[in-house]
Amino acid sequence: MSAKSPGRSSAFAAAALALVVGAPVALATTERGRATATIVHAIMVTEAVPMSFAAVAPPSSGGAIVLTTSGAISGSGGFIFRGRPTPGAFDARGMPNHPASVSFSSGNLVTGPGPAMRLGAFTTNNAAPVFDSAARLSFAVGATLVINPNQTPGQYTGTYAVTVNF
Amino acid sequence: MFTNVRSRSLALAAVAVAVGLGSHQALANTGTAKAVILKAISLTEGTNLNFGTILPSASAGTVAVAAATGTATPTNVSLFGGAAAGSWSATGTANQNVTITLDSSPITLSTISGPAGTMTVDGFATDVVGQAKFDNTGNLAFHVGATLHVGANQQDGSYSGSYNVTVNY
Repeated sequence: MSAKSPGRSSAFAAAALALVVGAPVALATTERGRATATIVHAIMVTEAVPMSFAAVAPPSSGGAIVLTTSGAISGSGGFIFRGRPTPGAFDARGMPNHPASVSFSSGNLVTGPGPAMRLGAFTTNNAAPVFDSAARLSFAVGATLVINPNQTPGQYTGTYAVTVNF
Repeated sequence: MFTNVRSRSLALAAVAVAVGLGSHQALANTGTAKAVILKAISLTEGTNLNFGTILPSASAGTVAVAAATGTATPTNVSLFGGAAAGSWSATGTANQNVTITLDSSPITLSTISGPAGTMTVDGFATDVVGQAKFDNTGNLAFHVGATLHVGANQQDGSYSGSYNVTVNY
């Protein structure tokens, strides 16, 4: 082989080297990607079913009637109940698998044509509520309504507040 | 560019031969030369990197999204799902090694609308195991994970930000 050949060969090698060294700057590619997140409020509580005592015919002395979380209604002697009473029902979202506490407002009044009636002694069907793995918690609410003596007939409505905490 | 470099090299070789060997005119042509022509890399984002829906708490927390699985791990916050690793696909020269570079300093996510709020994201990582390399058809797919820092009682809202991905030979 001629001695000239290696000289030419190394010249090619130099060319190849120049290409490789020069390539990265021109061929690098940068793109911008998007990162997202959503922050939600603290616990959300939604009323699914309003509480209803349905129709009540009280004795003239009045008295307390109790609506349970299963929808049963009862009172002292002389009360007549008609219609279908329903407990309140609520859905809450919070922290998955975390215990919750449910509390109610006090001093709630149910108003209508006659004197206001007191609503209180709330109960729930879940003594130790815990949010499920999807962070949901559902519960029913019962209460006691105090009917005044000689309560004026008519439709009465009121509100109460439900608080869920963890 | 390749053509230009090659021509110049040939000229140099010719000069060297002329100086060193004088009267020889014919050149044996048995040398070997190698050159790799690299295709420009194309990089496309598939899925956004998403930290999901988060309920903050009274203390600062984090949500770490794993690049390989997209699994989000919350600390001091509650997650309602929706988290996903960022997915990327790149095309380039088959069987070539590449380097994937991600942001080394934190980026900021900001509320898209409503009350202003910001969070930072750091700890960017890919799910590439070992040397990143285009496959024999010139494709490379990978995912990106990172860690979101959620403030105590973080302002609620939808947050968005951008991060950089660089692929280089």
